[in-house]
Amino acid sequence: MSLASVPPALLLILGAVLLPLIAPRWRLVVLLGLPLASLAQIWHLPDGVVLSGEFLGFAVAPLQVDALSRVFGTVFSITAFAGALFAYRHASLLEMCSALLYAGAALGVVFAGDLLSVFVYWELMAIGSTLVLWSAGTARAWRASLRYLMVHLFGGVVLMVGVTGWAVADGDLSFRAMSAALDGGGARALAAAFILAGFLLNAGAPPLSAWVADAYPEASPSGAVFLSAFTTKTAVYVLIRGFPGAEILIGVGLFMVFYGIVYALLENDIRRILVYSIVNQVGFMVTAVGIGTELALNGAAAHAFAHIIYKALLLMSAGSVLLMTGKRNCTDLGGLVQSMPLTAVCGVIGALSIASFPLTSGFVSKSMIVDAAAHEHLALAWSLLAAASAGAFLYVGLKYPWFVFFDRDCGLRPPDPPLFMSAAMVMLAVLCIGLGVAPGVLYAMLPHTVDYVPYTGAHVVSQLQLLLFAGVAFFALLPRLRPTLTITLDADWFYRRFPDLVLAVVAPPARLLWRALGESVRDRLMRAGRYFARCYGAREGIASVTGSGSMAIAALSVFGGMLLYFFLR
Amino acid sequence: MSERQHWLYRPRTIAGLCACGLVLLVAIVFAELFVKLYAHFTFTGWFGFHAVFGLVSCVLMVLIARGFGRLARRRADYYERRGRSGPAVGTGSVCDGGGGT
Repeated sequence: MSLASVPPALLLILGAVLLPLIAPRWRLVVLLGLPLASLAQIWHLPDGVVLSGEFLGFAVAPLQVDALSRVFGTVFSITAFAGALFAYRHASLLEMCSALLYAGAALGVVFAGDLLSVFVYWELMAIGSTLVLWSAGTARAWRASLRYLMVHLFGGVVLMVGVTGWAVADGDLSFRAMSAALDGGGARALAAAFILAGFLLNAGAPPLSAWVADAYPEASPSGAVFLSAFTTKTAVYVLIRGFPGAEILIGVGLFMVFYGIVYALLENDIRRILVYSIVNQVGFMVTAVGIGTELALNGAAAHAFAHIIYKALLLMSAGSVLLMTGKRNCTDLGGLVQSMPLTAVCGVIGALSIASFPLTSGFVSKSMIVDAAAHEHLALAWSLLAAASAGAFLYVGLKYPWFVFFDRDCGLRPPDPPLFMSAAMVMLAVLCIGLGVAPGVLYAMLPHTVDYVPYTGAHVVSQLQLLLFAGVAFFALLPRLRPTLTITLDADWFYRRFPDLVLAVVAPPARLLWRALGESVRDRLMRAGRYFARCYGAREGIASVTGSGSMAIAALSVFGGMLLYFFLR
Repeated sequence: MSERQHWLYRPRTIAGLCACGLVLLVAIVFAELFVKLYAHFTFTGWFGFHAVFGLVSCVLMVLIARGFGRLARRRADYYERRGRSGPAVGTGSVCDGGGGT
């Protein structure tokens, strides 16, 4: 392996390991240089399998490049760069290292040519993102990160079952379209279904969509930017590659679209509003993958690209508000445009992009998906997607900037955030507008040839009608949209509150039963319990733990060793 | 208050913005007279369809969300209040859901 075939993922992962060893004054160079180096490498690598080998008798290709992986790799590198710029002054060293590891793992997934490599990077991504969450350093973030990790480790197990099943049933672990296997029946169908479920869990699909809104808003202002970019969009990538045209995805995607809208409409926490809108927008992409035509798949890839940038921008503006005011709820904010004009303008540009206003990036990407539904004569899907486009303007395009930067004056007068943060926001805002004005740059990168003209008079007029009248609905219903000091129950209730309820029901009869037992029986049971605790308890014996941190380091060193081995071989 | 009112919050600006908004709304509907819109489906062909569709679908979404909110909204500290015995859902903790300010 030569220097020309270094995986882009390896650059960032090695950077994550080496960053603590570098003098603080040089860290910025590494943080910004590595994403740029990975971007250059992505465009330098030739198409096709670049690195290949054999593992457990299966052919593996840890580095494989094509147009689709390049689109995602490019936007991941751009976001890693902008995120690092935003994070540099305020994030902890742990957060910066974790973010590099996380971004590297995401790049690993999009350049993996086989399911085993996908799985390894997939799990590394779960570790990286959990560490990003942890590094927020609050008790809430700690608890949320444990729930997040639990869901993702479960998703990892589901994916592993699928990959193992696929290895047995099919024998070829190369990462290719598996949609046909879903309908075929037998072991291949079952394995493909498990793989699909594992992928969908990371996309924030039902029934476990709740992890997205539970975890991401607890991250630090910069942590949320990284989190919003990688996990869900990597899932979109693997769906595009693995399950194009799988019809079930249309239904799943449409559910996600409306789940996001309903929850965001009820939400008060500004970053949680934005996080619900991730599920909503990823729903558009999942629907497009389900439609599966070239236009739809191009639309999914283009929308992922545009979405990562405007969502990072929105979360940067919300993060700036959080950092400068210490407030996270709409009910405590308002009128900030007076003292944070730059943040407000960037927030509005992000909001217009997510609402797919003409001349913004969202317009040139989301329209492809909506039109793909029309071209396939999917009247219901088209109507729902069009309604959701209007809804996106209402629930985030207007709600977020209105209640934070305009509306009633909350009396706070914080300044715009410091230079690095402002620079990152301006960079992404320029990209949002740039992609909207000159979509050709984005279209040239897409996996299929683009024969799509977004700027026709008819399209602009119909889109503006849809959006401006959604605006009328917003202002007409403003009193009903005013946020309240509430949360909305979601599926996470089942693992956050339901066990308490079960305990409350089971405990009293169990206590009665315990008292009813004789003294000697109780004594024997207690002794048995102590014995089991000694053998299998968390503090001593077989299951004793010496901290998850050490486990993460052990896993990282093993993985790093493997990477080095394959690199030097 | 000694602070000078921000230009965006002056009544004249607000009135001007409202007027611009109204003009824009009327203009964008009547733009349809000059631009032939695509009719992807038969039901999308009539005049002003997208405007009405945008308005009605948004109103419906807000109503549905509020209906759902009546069932699923809880106090913001719902998950922080731990160790309470008895049913945690349904009794007493449902928010009014009304547009309290």
